[in-house]
Amino acid sequence: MNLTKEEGAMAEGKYGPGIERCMQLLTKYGEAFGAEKLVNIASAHVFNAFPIDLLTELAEGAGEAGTFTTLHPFMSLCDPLSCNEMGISEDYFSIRKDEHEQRLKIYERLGFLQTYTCAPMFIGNLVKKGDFVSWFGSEIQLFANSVIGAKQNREGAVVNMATAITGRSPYIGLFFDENRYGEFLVEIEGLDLDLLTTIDYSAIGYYIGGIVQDRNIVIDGLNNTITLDDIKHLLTSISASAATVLCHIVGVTPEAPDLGRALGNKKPKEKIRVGKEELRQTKAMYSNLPSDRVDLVILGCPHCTIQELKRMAVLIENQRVGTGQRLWVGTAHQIYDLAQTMGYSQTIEEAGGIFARTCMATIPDCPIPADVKTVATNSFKTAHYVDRISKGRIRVAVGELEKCVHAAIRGKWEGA
Amino acid sequence: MKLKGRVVNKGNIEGEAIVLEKPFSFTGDFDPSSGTLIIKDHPLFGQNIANKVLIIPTGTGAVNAAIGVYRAYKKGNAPIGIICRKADPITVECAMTINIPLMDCFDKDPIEMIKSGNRIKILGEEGVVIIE
Repeated sequence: MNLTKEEGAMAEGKYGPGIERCMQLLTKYGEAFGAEKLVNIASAHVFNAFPIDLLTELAEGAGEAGTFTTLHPFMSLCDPLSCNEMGISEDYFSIRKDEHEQRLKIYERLGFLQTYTCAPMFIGNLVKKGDFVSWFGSEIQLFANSVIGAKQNREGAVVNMATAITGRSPYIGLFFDENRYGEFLVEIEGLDLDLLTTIDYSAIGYYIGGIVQDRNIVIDGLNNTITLDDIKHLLTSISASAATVLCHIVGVTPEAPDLGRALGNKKPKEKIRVGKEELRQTKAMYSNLPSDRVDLVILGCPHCTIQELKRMAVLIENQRVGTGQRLWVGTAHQIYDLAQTMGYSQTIEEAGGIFARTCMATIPDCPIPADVKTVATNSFKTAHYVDRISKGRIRVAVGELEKCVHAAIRGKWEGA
Repeated sequence: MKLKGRVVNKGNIEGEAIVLEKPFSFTGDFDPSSGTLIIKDHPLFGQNIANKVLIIPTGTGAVNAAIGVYRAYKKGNAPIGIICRKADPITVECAMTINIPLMDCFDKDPIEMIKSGNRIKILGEEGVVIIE
């Protein structure tokens, strides 16, 4: 691989053993996929629950990170601001709190921003079309490529951390224009586009994600009036089971003004259609609970936008989360602060809702209260993970935000 | 018997093979806290891959797979080498994170040639796998 003089010095340990280890990892990883050089990246977003010893190793001797970097949410509900209220035991939390305090010292040295959100593009980590980026989280990797038109490879937490620390990424894969054309065409057929709801878009995404594997997607046949919140839910649902990070939405994605250009004027390798039946089958996977009783409502996968918090506040004003019920809402604290200025946060909290800066998809990865046997959520990704992580012990229903808020108030699931 | 392939991450090791015929995920098919395979309804369900050589077509792991593999490695539950038909980015990252040998792109299909339980050697300097 051809390194610049500066990169050569980094690789030889001139900037400390951490940078040296990161460069070794990035060059070897790049070479495995044919990289001839590294490129500078415009921004990074990194996993927060990194093992301490591995983080220490990668950051040893390093100063300010090589690029602007934000942090992913707390995992296992271990947000110091909310875990008590959520009923996470002190014993479980205290070990993780200590680990987090050790990480904080490293973050401060590297200059990482304490954002604790999975949607950093909504709070100031935004890039432009064509920028090379390294964002952790499969749903925002999809967002970077498919909504912004930035260039993001599917990469894991360790390569991503090495990239943030050095500011360099191997020039491979989706960084090349010719690798960005669609391969897997999804034709939307027989749906009334003007009536599609957030859950419809999410179900379309979840259906596609179950089939596509690692191929670049093209979705043809959606209205370009689709809202950003709906696109976010569509892409997040794809990311629950797919291994791709590029989904052209014709008429929306900057590189896909029309179908021909999305496909690079070639024939797709595979074509599927999504219509009423596919939508019905997908929604039916998470439509019912055994007794209609809802123990926990989870909103915020991905983290809620200010628009969603406003809708929630309107729905729950002057009402209360039912006795024995719970409403957990994931959002960035920067969005929470804005919602507080507007009065939404207080409305939701006074009704009994709890805010957290945690991952809302992987919740049973920690000892949540034992009486939680049923969950309602507006996210197929949450449903997918809660079902798998709890090995089916917790039953999950997916429905619109409005239905979920009603379920939190009444403690009953009244259908999607 | 000898297979020749591409060295993605170097290293020389010798150990028992465990062969999976389907794309493998370190996040969904493997429990880092015990080192066992947790693939539902699979004949190798419950088998341990700790200190073995993992033979897979390719990987399908999530973007946090290398974190789980690192935790497994710290507990002595990780494989000591990986052989793929064609390595995917996440599997490459996993191997590099714990610095174990990884090879792919062989002259013969490793999934067909190697059986679970075979003793194999990876000669990661020469790009050779020996099945004993």
